[in-house]
Amino acid sequence: MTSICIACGMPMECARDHALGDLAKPYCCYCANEDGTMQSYAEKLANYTAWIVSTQGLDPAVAHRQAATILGELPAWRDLASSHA
Amino acid sequence: MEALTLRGKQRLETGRRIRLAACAAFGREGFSSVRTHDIAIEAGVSHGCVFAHFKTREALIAAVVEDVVVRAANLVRHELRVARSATEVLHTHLAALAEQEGLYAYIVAERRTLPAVVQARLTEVNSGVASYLLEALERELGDAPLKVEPHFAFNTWLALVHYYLLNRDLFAPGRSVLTDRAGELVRNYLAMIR
Repeated sequence: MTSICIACGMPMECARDHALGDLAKPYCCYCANEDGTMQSYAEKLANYTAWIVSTQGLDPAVAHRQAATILGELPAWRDLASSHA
Repeated sequence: MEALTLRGKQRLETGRRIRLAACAAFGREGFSSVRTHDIAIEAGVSHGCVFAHFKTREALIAAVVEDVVVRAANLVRHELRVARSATEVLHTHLAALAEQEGLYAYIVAERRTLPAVVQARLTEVNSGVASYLLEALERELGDAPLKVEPHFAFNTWLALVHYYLLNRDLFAPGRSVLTDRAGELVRNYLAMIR
């Protein structure tokens, strides 16, 4: 059954999509550190910003704002996002 | 309990009708031209009913665009879960956008007037497509470099798509330009960047 990663919104359709392949983890393999713990908001925001800049060449400050907006919609970061934006 | 369930179902159905009506109206006339009053008439509900479901006009626009953008993102993601060629990535992108071509054209034309969350969602979807495209190109080209920087390669694709979309009356009057011109766009774009 498909679930949504609480940290980036990616649909997780199979065990491989979950952190460490563990269906009990509500976040995806891309949002996990090597030990399976979830990346911090600061790490996720930095990675998301860098991804937008590298794929579309947006101004870094604009990319940062948009990344914060996207993350702020997700369950893992709803409360944190406003204080970091 | 049963009455509540029935009321809940009716509420969901009314919300769906309003979204569909808004989607159709925005797709025909754009976001700035359509009044919520017109959407209410098209959905067959009272004007107040629209605001009972969506607190503001901006919330309604955000919901409609979110539906379209997320659907396009899911289509692309679903189709491209396994490794595909650059040609397939681009055709999949065009097919996803063509599903709501009229509305997408207005999203492009009026992007700066749309809610911040919608603009951010659009950026997210575009970066997703860019990732699939750049990964496919990397697989196909091996050690050979792209003719342009990676982000510029993707932006060139978007520029082409948006140009044809915004001038679709010239390229495919009364038809889907992204369907009609898909082969031409993909073939020539890849010849330019590889």
